[in-house]
Amino acid sequence: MSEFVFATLEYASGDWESAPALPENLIDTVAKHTSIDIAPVGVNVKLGFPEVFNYPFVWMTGHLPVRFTDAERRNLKRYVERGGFIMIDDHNHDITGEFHKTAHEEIERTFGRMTRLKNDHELYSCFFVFENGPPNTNHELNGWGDNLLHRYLDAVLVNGRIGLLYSSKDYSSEWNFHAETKRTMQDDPTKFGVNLIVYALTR
Amino acid sequence: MTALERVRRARWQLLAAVILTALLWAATLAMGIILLAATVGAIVWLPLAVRVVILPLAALAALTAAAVVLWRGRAARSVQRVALWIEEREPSLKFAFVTAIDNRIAPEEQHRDLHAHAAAADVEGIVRRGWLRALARAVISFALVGAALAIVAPRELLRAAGSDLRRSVRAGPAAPMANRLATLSARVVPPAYTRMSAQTVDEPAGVAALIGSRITFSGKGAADGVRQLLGNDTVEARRDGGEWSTGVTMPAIPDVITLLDRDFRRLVVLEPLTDSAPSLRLTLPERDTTYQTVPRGRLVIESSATDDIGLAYGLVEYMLSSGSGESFDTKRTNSRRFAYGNRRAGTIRDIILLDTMQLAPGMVLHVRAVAFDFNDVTGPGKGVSETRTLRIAEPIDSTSINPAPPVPIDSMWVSQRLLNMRTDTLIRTQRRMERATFVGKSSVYSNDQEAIRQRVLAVIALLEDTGVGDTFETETSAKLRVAADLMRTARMHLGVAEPDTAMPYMKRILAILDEIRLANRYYLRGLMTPVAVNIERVRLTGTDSASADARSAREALANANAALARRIDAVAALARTSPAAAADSLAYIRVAALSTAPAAAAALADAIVTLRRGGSAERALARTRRALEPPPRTISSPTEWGGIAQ
Repeated sequence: MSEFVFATLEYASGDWESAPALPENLIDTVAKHTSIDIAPVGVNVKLGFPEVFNYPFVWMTGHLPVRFTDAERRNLKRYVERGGFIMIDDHNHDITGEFHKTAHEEIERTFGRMTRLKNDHELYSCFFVFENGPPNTNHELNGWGDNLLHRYLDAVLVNGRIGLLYSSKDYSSEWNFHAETKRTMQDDPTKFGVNLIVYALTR
Repeated sequence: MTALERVRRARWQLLAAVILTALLWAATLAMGIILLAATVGAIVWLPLAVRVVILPLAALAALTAAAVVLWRGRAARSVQRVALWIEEREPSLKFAFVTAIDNRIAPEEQHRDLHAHAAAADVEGIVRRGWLRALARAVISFALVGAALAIVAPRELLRAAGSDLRRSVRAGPAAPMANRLATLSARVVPPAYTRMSAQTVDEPAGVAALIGSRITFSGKGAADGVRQLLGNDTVEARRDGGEWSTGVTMPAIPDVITLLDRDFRRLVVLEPLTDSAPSLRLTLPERDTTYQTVPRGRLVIESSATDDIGLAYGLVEYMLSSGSGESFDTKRTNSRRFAYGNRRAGTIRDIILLDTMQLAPGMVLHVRAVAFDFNDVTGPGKGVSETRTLRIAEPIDSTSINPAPPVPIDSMWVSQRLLNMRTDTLIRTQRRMERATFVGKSSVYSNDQEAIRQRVLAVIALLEDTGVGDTFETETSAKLRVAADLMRTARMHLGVAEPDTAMPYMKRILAILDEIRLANRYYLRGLMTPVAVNIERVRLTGTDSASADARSAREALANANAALARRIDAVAALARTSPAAAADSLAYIRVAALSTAPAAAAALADAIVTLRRGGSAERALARTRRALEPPPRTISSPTEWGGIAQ
């Protein structure tokens, strides 16, 4: 079985590369807690190109408006429908921000309205257990961005399985630090990332 | 009032009560029959033979009920029986009443006590209680059945049953009416906003029309009893001159409409056509751009817009984002509207003055064109062009991000273009040139071509390197491989002093590079530098407890085409024995295929028409099966030897 490669999604508009330390951090967490055969280095993969279909899990983030090209929109739909898992995280943690508004516009144009994911969904218990649903970020607790505590994540479900997960919680900021820093932390904030990857690979 | 007079009065009251009760039970039974038929009809389709007998059966039930009640109340006609009935309900009379009404046996002047005893009886009360009891049962039953009938409201059934009955009475068994669905035409009136003219389709197996179109089916014969079924809705045909007609509005999803005439039926597939949203192509700016300094001057935005029916208006949408780190701000503005007055094509052109926009490093301008159509049924349809992203470079960027390398395709394109121009000059000046000079120059160009090819191969390697020890062919690298193959051929011809033979190859190379150059619109503000994690060192060092549960294999995606093929195979067997039933089944399969396999749906239409004409649908069904097969794989470029890849 080939190893799992963490992929950051490149898209033509916006700043897809706004969380450069996140891949390293999540790779470190996955290796620490699981026996998943994971590549030590992440890759950047263009949504508009067919290579995206080689990666079962892709991370997408940014602050700026999201405007997919036709090829990107087509590939996104195919990717999700064929069993891929894309995590889209609003790096602005702001539901009035342009990333949120334009990303929603693009998602709804491609898939229709997203489903609100219940907090007892197996995503929150497939590895670590998060009894209250998605873990909060410091950005939410400190009242930055839209000053809201987002209690739910939204999803595009394909035959009951999550194909696209949308978060306004800004994990891209929360997890965008050097992996070594975790040694000084009492609790690893990136554990939810393990659930995301385990879910994407096993469900 | 004498005892006889009182009994006669009671008799009339009882007779009235019997008649009223008979009428109520008759109505209740008739309604009950209709209610039963409506309930069954809601579950299963009632055939003509059943529909025809519903009303007669209801009438018969009513007559029977009335007859039974009247028969049971026949005693009310007799004075003696009424007197006895009163005596039964008032035993204390001890037959005084029965005796008192017969003046021959007990004249009042001789039997004053008897008559006084009879006069004391509460005859009116006994009679009132009697008919109230009988009427109450009838009224309650009538009310209950009537209420249920009001809820079910079987107006359609009653109409159908009435018309079927009238027709069967008029025609009689000796003159069966012909199938009024044998000749059918459909008149399609598109929605008003399209300004399209109406069209008529004769003998339709399916009707393809824009969503919201009004479709009128018509045929020869009276309208009575002809109906259309669409989903749960039944519509009676109406009279239209000497024909029947019925109408439906084209739904948003494919469906089958069933036309019924007694036990004859005809299926027509409704194929909704979607009014496409406008299509836009942004021609200016041609590609994404990064300004190294704050740009000044004018920026022209130009887009073409087309629509399958007609455009309403278009505009240019601007989004200017500024900020950095965690703080970004985006402003949206639109250009003025460009009206098109339902033309199918138009141009959007706007000019902005960059000097007035207070641009600064780090800002990003997103530009796209937007157009709307006149669709007032499912729209308005909104089309958008691709977005051009114009960035102003940030002098200081994140330390984790390296500047993107220059795009090499551009420089290769310039080199190839220059080489083509020089080769072209060489060909034109060949006659004025010494042979040795000509050969020498051609040889130099051959080396130049090889140098470009080496650069192309380097870019291919770069594009296909995933950074994790694996390679993947990309859309661009595949095209570059074709260009590299052509370069090798061109180099060979240039090397043997045949520039005129090399030139066609070189033109194709330039075209490919140009295509890639224009398509490669990605600008990366920077490239994320991948940081390697020491997996072996950190592997399973985490101390947090987890609850990994059992994994289950994911189900494979359902193959919709294979399922359709299986259904078609089943119908193919049916087609040999019952072509009409097979055509109907294919109509339903076609509805399913319209959205998932349009080519197969088209072939199915031919099969349906052929079956209805009594022909063999084998060929059309074979075409359908082929359309459901996966497309053959194509090889985009030749191998190193120009042969077929294994």
